Amino acid sequence: MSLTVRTAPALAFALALTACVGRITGGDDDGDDVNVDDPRNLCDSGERDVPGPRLLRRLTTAELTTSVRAVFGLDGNEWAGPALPADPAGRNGFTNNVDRLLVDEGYARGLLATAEAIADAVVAPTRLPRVLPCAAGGGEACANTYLDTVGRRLFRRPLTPDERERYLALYDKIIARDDFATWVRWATVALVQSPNFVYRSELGEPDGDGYRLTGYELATALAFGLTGAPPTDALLDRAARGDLDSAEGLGAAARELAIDPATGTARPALREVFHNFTEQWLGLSSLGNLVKSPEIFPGFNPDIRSAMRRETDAFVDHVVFEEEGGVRELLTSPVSVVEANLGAFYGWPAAAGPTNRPAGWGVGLLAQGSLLSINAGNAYTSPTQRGQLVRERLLCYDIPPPPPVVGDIPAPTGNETTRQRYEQHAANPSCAGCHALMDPIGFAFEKLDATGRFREMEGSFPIDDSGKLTGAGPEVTFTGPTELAEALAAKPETASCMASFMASQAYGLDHHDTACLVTSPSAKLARGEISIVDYYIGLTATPHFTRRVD
Amino acid sequence: MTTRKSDAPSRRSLLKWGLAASALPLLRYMPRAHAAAPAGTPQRLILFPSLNGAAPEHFWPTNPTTMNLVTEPLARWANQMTFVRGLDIEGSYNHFAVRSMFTGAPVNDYLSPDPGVKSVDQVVADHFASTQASSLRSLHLGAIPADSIQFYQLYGRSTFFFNPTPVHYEANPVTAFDATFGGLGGGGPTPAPATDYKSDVLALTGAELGVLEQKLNRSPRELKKVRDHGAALTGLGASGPAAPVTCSGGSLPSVEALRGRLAGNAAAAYDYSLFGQIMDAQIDILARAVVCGLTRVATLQAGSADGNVIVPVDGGYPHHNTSHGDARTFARVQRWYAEKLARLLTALDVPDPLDNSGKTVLQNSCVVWLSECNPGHDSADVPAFYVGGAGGALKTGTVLNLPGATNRGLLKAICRGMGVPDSATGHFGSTVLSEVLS
Repeated sequence: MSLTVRTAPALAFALALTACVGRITGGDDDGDDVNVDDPRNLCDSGERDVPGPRLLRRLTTAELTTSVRAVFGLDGNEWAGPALPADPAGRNGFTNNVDRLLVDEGYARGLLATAEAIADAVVAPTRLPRVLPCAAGGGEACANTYLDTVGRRLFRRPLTPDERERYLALYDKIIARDDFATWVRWATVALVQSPNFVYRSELGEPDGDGYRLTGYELATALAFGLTGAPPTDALLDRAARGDLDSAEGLGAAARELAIDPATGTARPALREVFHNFTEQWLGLSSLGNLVKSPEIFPGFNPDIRSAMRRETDAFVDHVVFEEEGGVRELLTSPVSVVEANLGAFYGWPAAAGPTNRPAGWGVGLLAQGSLLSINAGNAYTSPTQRGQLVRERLLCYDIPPPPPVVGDIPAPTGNETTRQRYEQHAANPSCAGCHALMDPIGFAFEKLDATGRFREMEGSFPIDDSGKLTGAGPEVTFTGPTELAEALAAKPETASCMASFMASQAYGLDHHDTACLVTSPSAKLARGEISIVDYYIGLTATPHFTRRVD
Repeated sequence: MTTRKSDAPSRRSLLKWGLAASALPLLRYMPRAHAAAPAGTPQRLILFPSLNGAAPEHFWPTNPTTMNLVTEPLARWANQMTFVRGLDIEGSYNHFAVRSMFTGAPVNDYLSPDPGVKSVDQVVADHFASTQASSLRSLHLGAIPADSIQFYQLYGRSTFFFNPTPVHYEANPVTAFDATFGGLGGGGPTPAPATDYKSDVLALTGAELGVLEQKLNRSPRELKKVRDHGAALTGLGASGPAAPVTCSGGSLPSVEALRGRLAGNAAAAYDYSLFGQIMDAQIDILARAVVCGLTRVATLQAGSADGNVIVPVDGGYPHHNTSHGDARTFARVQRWYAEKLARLLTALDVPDPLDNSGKTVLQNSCVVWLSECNPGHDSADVPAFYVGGAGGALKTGTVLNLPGATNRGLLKAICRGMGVPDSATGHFGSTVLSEVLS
């Protein structure tokens, strides 16, 4: 059993435990003998605001799909979507990890099939004239037009002369035997399965003792990072003009992509990027399949699960985008946005729009019914799961999986509380070390049942929802979810941890590796000087965003 | 290399003979003599992992004339089954043994790196590709293989097959059907164009990768990505002599029933409520592809190691949680999977269109049911059996009691039965579970 921790205080704490033994993962970065699930250990030197490594980031399925639809204008009837394997999840649960997104034979086979399906759709008589108006006449000039327009959009930069020559050589071969549309078809297959399309290049050009990303690479990183979509022609034009080569120009472009000048608020695309972040950060995707005991929670049905997800999305929208809040607000806002059926499930009075949560129901993100339901059993709460969520996702500890042969939590007899059962389990010395990291945090939620509803008693027993947080600075004690939220919000480590996760999504690296890439914006976020939206924009101003090292 | 085949009578074989008397009713159904598969036999290998095991008292045939609670739906094929009692997953245990069971490699915990070797399906697929290539090297399908598409291959909880990186599986039967049979008039994608410039396009892409590679000599991880990408293209371009394919076209009702919900929607294929339908559809796809010889190696991964897909028995039981509860209830859950396996075996129990000897596809196949652990989370004496004798290469119709046997020995023996040279199976060790060989 092992515990991977990244911060010195955390490591010291972990090493002091008897059963949760610390381990720093490591290894040579020779490319051949690496565990793609392990972090790259970029932050081991202790330096701050460092540029990271040069990267080739394979498009996620969503990025590829969005790109194809944007470039060719294909709708769902013309092209159903890619026939690609799903994106593998990295160790921290994010599905855009640069070391997991690889092209093996299975992916390459799917990519080729996908490229052919796209090409078939592009050369369809109803589509080709719109994609390439000169196609009816054909000719090499029209082929060049295709490469100048579609080719540039797919590669997110103009083709080099050598690249152009290869596509024109294919043109010469095909046109000798077949028609122009046939070349368009096969050129499209080649363009879509090209490494210049499939990988987001963050390699840069040599510059001093490192590399500086090109304007086109910056345009790509800006567009995918802030809109989840490829750069528009206009943004590529700005890159071509050198507008992105200065910090001012880059910052202006980032702000324009993120903020709608008409309203002064975040654009829908950035909101979607953040919703994708919260889904993966918090594991919200499992809510859809969640089942609870129908005897104990008869109303917990698919409609309620969906409403819980919308509640969380609406809460995030309200706090992060409408109130332009930071981490503190995300954790401590008393507001909730519930639909009528979910309000009835909770037993709340009907309310339209944001309303304050009733007393005792906790505050902020951690009091969401979605999270509390996911991190619970089907009949009973799970202080361990809830504590693990806080410890791993808000404090950036890595809790190891349970030992291979682990005793179950004592079954309920009706004569004790859930807390007592967990305390009994943790009394076993072989269990105590790891459970000490989680259960005392999770106990604070004990008055919120396995679906997040408030309860004063558990059966006939009063509930003790006092807890404590150890191992992350001075011990902090609290009672109930609201005090826990306040305690977490007061700790700069919490915001720093969330900052490293947001950077993980943006940069495609493990969150342990991003902590030292975002030192400055992370510190501002932790001090409450910037909002979460500003932090996203700030991610485009780090040294890593523009520079790389070997 | 040592094998058990030529050894003096071993403890295991003595135990086997000791058990023979109690296995007599099953042996009645055994052909009198087994021979190795004749050269050119169109063998198939199908892997059907069974997650979380089953209580012994509900799994093993205590009275060989009848199957037990879990395996009773398979009674019709008793004469073609071999149970292997006493099998351990060597070097691993608990749910993370899913990465060991078919690779034979030790995996210490969830966080251990992937095994770095090929699983048995890939070893056999390599062999078939070099001897009697089929159009599709291998087919890998899933039925709710993770609790959400966002947990795809997370932490090795849902990766069983390696080449030596994790083999992708298709969880969406609509996508799987279209990709597998689209070019064969299966109602899928557009017909191929008249002139095929695929090799030119692959060469162009290869040239682009070459240019990219030149920029990466100081970035080893990225360089490896590009080189692996190039190697993958090589695999696409390789076209050995493919065996004749006699797949009939036409849609599959079980797939079409899902098309409206799953076409173009990868995430929807992880909806628990569709589990039974998806299982049926994937089994039908797999069976058609294997029967017609489109592929000769296939896997079906139903669920994930500690996933809680709701198994539609009674009102529905969450798979993993139920494994920690009442043994009989969980056995009924596992029986549901056996019923699905029966659907597959029924489809395979037809004359083999690739074999004019009169054998059925099932007789030419080896369909492996193997668990990564038992409900107690240990990986000793796990449920294990296979159906079909791989064309006569493997013994059938018996219960072998082989305490201390390992999955590695079984994998090695299956490879032997499939004609794979030992030089390709070194990572399974040197011990062959010769008791299963004819």
